[in-house]
Amino acid sequence: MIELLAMSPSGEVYFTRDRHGVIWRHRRLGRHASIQVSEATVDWTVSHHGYDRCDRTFSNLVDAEAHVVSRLPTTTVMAEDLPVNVPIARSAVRVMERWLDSATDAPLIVPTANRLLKEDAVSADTVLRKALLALSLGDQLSALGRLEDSVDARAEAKLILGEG
Amino acid sequence: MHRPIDSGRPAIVLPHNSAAAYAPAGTLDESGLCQDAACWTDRAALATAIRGSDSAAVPDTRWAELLAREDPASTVPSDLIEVVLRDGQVPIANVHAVRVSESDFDAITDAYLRSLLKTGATVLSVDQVLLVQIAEADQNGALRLEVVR
Repeated sequence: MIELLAMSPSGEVYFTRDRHGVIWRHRRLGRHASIQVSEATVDWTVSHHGYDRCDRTFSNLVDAEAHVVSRLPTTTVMAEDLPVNVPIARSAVRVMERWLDSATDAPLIVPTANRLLKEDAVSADTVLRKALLALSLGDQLSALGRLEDSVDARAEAKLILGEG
Repeated sequence: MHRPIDSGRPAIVLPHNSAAAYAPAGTLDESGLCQDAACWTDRAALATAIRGSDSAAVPDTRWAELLAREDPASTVPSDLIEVVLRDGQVPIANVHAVRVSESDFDAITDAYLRSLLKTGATVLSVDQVLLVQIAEADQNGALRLEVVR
């Protein structure tokens, strides 16, 4: 069991106590190792930095973090109105490079690149434009590769079954 | 940061990169951190403690470079002192530069891109809204966004 002790208002940082009684500070975003802290640290963040006490128990860390996310303030906007800018597009290129390796995320690359390229500031940046087009092309080539593999597999199956 | 103390709750300053300095093995050195921490109004004293000996070898016209140098080729270890804010709400107009880790930035962008692809209403978290505002301000020249590995 994991006890969720407190969380920052932004949800970026939260504290848990594991079944051995050790208190950990976690950062929700990015790649950061959890570090051990004392109970006094947790109390200090609550009293001096406006962290929220949670005092809830969960079966695992994933559920604890899901609870943190569920408490975050959100804003509802129209997707068509969301701004895109050059810093976001640069980060998007790195994100989409990772999507290439995911069968579920790869299909998102072409529509995302198209959406980003609609922004003048993004399409005017030659390096960004080339990177986004290359990602789109890379995804289509890997989709073509998957299709060829599928066709080859079917042809091979027909040969084995004597249907060729 | 131009003015981190609008709310009357003073910020705390620390030597740069407190995570590496006070939690190198994953356990926070609270006493060391508390010993080195200073109030925003004492930031000059902290700067002197960190860079005082270096300043003797540098003309005073270049002292600012000891704390906020832009030249990565220099061999003098430098960087800003670190400011810990007591309030989460700081107007962007008060901010000179924002430094964010690449992995944090990309994690937020990942979620934001998925919202971009939706049609109609979509829900953004507060960190997505903030990052987009900061990125817009960077593009408009209102502040500098530094993405570090």
